[in-house]
Amino acid sequence: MFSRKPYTGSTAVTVNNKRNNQSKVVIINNQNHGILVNRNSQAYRNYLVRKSKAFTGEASKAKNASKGDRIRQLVITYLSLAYEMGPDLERKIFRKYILLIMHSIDKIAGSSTNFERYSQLYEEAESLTGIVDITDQYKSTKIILDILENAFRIDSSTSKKLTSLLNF
Amino acid sequence: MSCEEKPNFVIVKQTGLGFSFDNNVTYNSPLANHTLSQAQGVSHPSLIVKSDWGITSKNTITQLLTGQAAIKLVKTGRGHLGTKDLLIKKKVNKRTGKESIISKFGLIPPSKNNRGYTLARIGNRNEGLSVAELAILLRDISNKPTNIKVRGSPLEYKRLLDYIQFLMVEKVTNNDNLFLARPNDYRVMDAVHTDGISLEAAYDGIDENNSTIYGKAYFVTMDRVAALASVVRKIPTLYQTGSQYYYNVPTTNSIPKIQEILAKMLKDKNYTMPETSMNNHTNRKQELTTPSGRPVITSGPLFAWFLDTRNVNKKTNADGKTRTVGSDFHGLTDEDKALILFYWAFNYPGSTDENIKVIKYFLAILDTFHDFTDTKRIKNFKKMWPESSNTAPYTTARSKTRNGLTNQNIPPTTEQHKFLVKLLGIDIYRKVGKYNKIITNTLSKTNKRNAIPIQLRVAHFLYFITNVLGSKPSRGIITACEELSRNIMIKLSNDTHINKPLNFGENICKLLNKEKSCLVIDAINGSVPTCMKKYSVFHNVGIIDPADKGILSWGEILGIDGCIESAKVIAAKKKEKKRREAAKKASADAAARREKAKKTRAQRIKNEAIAAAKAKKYADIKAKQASNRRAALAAKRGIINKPQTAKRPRNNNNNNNKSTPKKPKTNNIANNMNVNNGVNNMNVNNGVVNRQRVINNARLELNKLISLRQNQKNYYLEKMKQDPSNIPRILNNAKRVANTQRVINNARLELNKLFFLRQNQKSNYLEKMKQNPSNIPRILNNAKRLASTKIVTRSQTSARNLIKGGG
Repeated sequence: MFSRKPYTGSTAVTVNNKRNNQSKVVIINNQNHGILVNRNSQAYRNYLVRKSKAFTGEASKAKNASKGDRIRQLVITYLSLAYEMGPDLERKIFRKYILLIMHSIDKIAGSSTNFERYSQLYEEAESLTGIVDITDQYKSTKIILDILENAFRIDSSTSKKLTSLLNF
Repeated sequence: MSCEEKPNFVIVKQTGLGFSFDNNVTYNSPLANHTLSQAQGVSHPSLIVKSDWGITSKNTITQLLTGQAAIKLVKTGRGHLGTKDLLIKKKVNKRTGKESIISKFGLIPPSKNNRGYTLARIGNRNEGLSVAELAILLRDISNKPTNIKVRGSPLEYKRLLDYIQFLMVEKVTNNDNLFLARPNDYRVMDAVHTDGISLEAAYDGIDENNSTIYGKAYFVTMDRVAALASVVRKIPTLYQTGSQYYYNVPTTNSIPKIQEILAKMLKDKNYTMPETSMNNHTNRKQELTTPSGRPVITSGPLFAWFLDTRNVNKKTNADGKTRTVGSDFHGLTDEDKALILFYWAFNYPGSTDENIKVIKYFLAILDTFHDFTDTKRIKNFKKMWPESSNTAPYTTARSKTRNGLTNQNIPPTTEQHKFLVKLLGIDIYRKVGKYNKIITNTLSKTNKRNAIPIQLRVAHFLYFITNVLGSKPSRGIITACEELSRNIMIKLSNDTHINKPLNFGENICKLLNKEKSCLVIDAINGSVPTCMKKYSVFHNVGIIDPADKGILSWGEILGIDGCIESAKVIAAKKKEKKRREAAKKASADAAARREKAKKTRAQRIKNEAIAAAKAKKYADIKAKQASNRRAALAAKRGIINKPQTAKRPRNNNNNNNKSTPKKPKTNNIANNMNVNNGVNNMNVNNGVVNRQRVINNARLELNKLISLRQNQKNYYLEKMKQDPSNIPRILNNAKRVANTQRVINNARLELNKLFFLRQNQKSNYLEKMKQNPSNIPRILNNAKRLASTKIVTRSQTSARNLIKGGG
């Protein structure tokens, strides 16, 4: 992963900040034409899926990604979770992150036996309500950081360390 | 995630087996080691700076707390130096004149949990204390007479804010295993927060190439002293001048290059580096001589690198010969002094490590002078760097640089020190015994006064620098040092800027794009060029030192669909908007109410004025009517103008003013002469008035004659007016008539008492009396006699009738 400093730089684009006032409707690119869709519509979800695949070269990159790349994905996922942590973190969001991390760990380990279960739990997570206690968040941080510190030793049993975190 | 929020980068550390977070930044200052970290966990917003001074912790400031962590500590009931309250910094709105609180801060005394003082600041953001706030704090401590060991220590907490930024850059850049990473990926967050996205799709959307991870950073600043301190540490630095030229200052071999630059600058000013023996001491060398030929830096067996700040003077040798000593250092221009000081510090003997340690210490002390001599920022504590007119502290400091420093110069912590030199001196001497090996090794070679402990020699050395910088008022030397720092950096850059003001950071952005580097922007002049913004990263160092220029918010770091705000943030914003609108409405209502009240008040005042005018008019009419009525009655009575007596001034017992002239005593007549016409109260005394006076007196006499009828009185008065000279006679007549009438009246009363007289009999007697008043007694006796006869006759008649009837 970080055998030498990968000066990857930023892909950030500066745009007008006035767009920040989000509406429920967004413009998406549909065959080079901008169309308005509802942010919660199926069309937008499909668009996001297509877009995410486009980032990785029609998902081929994910398949061909090296172990180092996959560890880096794991780091990014954890950083995003750490960023969202706090007294108001929703259970739904927390569980999705944990499942995403578990999925990522299994990808690094090359194990696919749990994927179906993870997908099912990920879908079910949408119905969760409530928030996660801050002490439970710190507990999860400790486990994940421990995994990340030994990221090159990740194997098929590593994700089991996180199973207890799904009980929240 | 809020779109207005600025992402706070974290330092990611690659380990042999994986990676971890290494977000702490440490600054080893001459006096203490400070470490900046989150109060708890990598994502905790409150920041903490832990300080290790190497001495007894209860006598030091062991931590700086900001944000919620500071609030939590203060909520335990502990305030500034054991008091309940914290110090407050306020600002006044120029438009409305209203005061508002910017921050609360103070020194929390040691406790069981924390064995030293805690410097706490509570404000809008989690930043550390500004120079102005530290000045307020230092002033407060300086007014306390007790033995406060940490009198000068708050000074350290400004410098560390500047330094910790470029030290973070140094940490990341100089370590191949450390990276600055954007704390999250909005694509991941987007996927997680949108319902209906599958786990696979969310995972596939994470592309490490879209993440922002930098292995190298540049420190960007316009602060000349901080920039130089960064450059000597070989930290990539972009220095911006006041005219907004950017210089990419090379860091390779920076110190030898700076030495060359300084030597050239001195030579250009006719200074020489002869390295020849001193005239009277063959074992000493002249290392630097002034244009007048006086050696200002010398080397010898006792002092390997001696800065001679003495005045030029004669001194007698042991053999009786005289020699000239001193360089007249303090008589040189500020520019020359700065140049000599820099040359002295940058060429200080020792190994590379030893040399750079001295340079770092010198620049650290200079940085404190740079911050705390700005009169605007220390306006709440002017005695820290007094006005030029108060030369005493500066003269004392200057004398110390000439006569050498001894134990006697150590500023005691029991005194209420105010001058910056003394405040710095306190901590310099408190550190004695704990200075690090590199600096003690250096001083052990350059200062051979072995009778003085080496640790104390280090303190004397640092205090000497402090006294030199504090030896002149008006920032003269400090400004010269700042200018010299600027010139050094421009010379290091070969007088070539990377960016001029009008090309909008274009060349810098090309460099950053090529190197895949980022920027840590401290303070710059003007706004950050647009293209540079996306390279600007924000770390804890940027939070604790309020310098977030050019940081892009999440809203500005957009993907195709823009910034997605979490439901929580949207709800919070909605709530905030609602609150603002309610406040605005309330404000509008309040304004309307105020306006209405204003109008009502104006109307009430107007009505009251009208009513008062009306009442006055009515009172005037009434008064006039009363006056007319009285005048008419007076006229009717024949009184022309009743004189008013002037009021006698009230004799106030408390009035001791004996000079008040006594009103002359006047008789009644004279009093009556006072005419108060309402215009001027003056005594008028002429013939006409005298006549009037006599008539008035006569009228008074007439009024006393109650037996006279009103028409009789009017008659006599008229006669008097017609012939004032006959007044006494007329008055006598009136008295006589009145007397006669009185007698007749009395007789009438007597007659009326005689019930047995018939009315015609009474009338006959009364007529006789009027005709001959002198016979009244006789007439009255006759009437009485007649009346008594009638009484007897009636009695007999009654007895006879009784006999007849009773018979």
